[in-house]
Amino acid sequence: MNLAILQRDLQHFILTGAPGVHALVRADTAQSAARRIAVYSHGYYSRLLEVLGKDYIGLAALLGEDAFETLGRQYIAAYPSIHYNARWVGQELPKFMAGIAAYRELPHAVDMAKLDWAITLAFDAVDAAPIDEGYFSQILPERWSELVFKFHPALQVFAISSNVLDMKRADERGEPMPPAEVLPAPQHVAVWRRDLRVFYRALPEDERSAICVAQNGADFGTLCEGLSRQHAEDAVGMRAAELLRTWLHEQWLIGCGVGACATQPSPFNSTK
Amino acid sequence: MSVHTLGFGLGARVEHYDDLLATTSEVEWLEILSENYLVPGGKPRHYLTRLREQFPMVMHGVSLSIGSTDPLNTNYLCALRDLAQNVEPEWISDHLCWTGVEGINLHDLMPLPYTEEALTHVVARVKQVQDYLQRPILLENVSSYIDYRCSQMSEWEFLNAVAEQADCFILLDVNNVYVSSRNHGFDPARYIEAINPQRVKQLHIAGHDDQGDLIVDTHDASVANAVWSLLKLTYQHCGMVATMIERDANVPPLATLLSELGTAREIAHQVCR
Repeated sequence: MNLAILQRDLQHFILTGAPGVHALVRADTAQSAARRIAVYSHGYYSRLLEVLGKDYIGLAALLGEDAFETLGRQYIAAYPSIHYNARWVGQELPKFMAGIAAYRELPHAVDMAKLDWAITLAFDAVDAAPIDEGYFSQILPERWSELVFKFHPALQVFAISSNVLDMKRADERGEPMPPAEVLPAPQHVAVWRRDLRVFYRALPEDERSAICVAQNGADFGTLCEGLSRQHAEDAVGMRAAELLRTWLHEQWLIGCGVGACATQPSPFNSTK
Repeated sequence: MSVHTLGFGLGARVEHYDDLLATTSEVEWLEILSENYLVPGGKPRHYLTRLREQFPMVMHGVSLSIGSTDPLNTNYLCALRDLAQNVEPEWISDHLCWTGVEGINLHDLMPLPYTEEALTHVVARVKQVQDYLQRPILLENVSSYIDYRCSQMSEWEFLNAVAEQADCFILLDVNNVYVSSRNHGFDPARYIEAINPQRVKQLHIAGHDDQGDLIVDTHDASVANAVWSLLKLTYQHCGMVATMIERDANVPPLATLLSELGTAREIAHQVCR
């Protein structure tokens, strides 16, 4: 039998459990052949479900074992693994859930999936060395407004519509999750990595918009202009300084500079 | 036996990272599962760097799919080559199997039919991979639960032929020989003794799940007595070969694996002194 046809047919048997594999493999009976192929079928689903369970810890806890397995099996059937690394098998799950009517009724479940996957991405995102406060102390005062910032690749910002952060924290502490609630307004969340550990927290609206502005390449002056629309004039400088200190502490910043080049040395005080 | 080998090693597992970094010479080298480190950064790459500073390493993959009729995955090969440049492993290995077709990855090690067509196909692809990686690779015999009606030769004949014709090496998994022998009713000693010892560069030993009518290669238990016996036979046939214990699930404390590694070392010393 042609190798390509054999592999195509066998894969079909493994994925679907369809009868007829006895024609391909040696076994005393059709039942025996089916039993042997079932080792591979079972292995395929159980292996991918295990990966999903590790990547979606919060979602698995929220849905419970049976519902999570049902969802996982539906997802794997709809999105067979196509990447060489099983680490990526779960990447479409939030999108898949958002497309299912039953889960549109459970926005906290979709939010939890988004949060879990963001944590997974932050865990092994590309490394980058954070800058510290000393970096800013070298900048000439007249050049501050021109500064642009470069953020750590692990930092992700996205919106949720439920109290999923409280639910996730409760689960991590081993406590029962609080009842799901829809928030009065969408809430933005930051997920990031600091010293190899992954963190998440809610973002105040002014911080969310400042990050958005800065990540799009706008300079510090523009960032402050944005803050001035949300704070009294005499509070803007203080708030901007507070945000920068927070971002440094959280290791979100990996560079800053003038214009398009975030590593350009020109803004620095040459005497330092 | 004076042939230089790496000695006795373990698989690098997350559960043992810190203990391995604190351990002394009982573990002579580490095998990493390549795919675990084909990620951009974070904890996996951090620990890889630290472990590599302390241990010789070999890279063991599960995604080459050398026997698939799909084209070779150049993205995977490129990532593997980049990782190898970073790790500078003693060698790179994968499995004599296929892992999927039509773009799907079953994430399993599917056995090949042992036919002339499959042999020609695999040999050509091994040569391509070796050209790309600029080094010979090792291929491991897999545990299997099926064999194909169309097979024309034994697994050991097929494995020897691939190694010879593609000029690659063999990672002989002694546990897999045992598992397949029970599942398919052949003599495992016959398999071991038929393998060309000149091509064997590494051995795996592991535990399995004996379900009576079928043995499943689970890597979640200690090495079975029958596998220890086969390991002895393997040393008698091949001489001293770099040996490691594969434990992927139900991972015990490092001390337990060191004890098993001690058993392997003892057997080797009895046979190869």
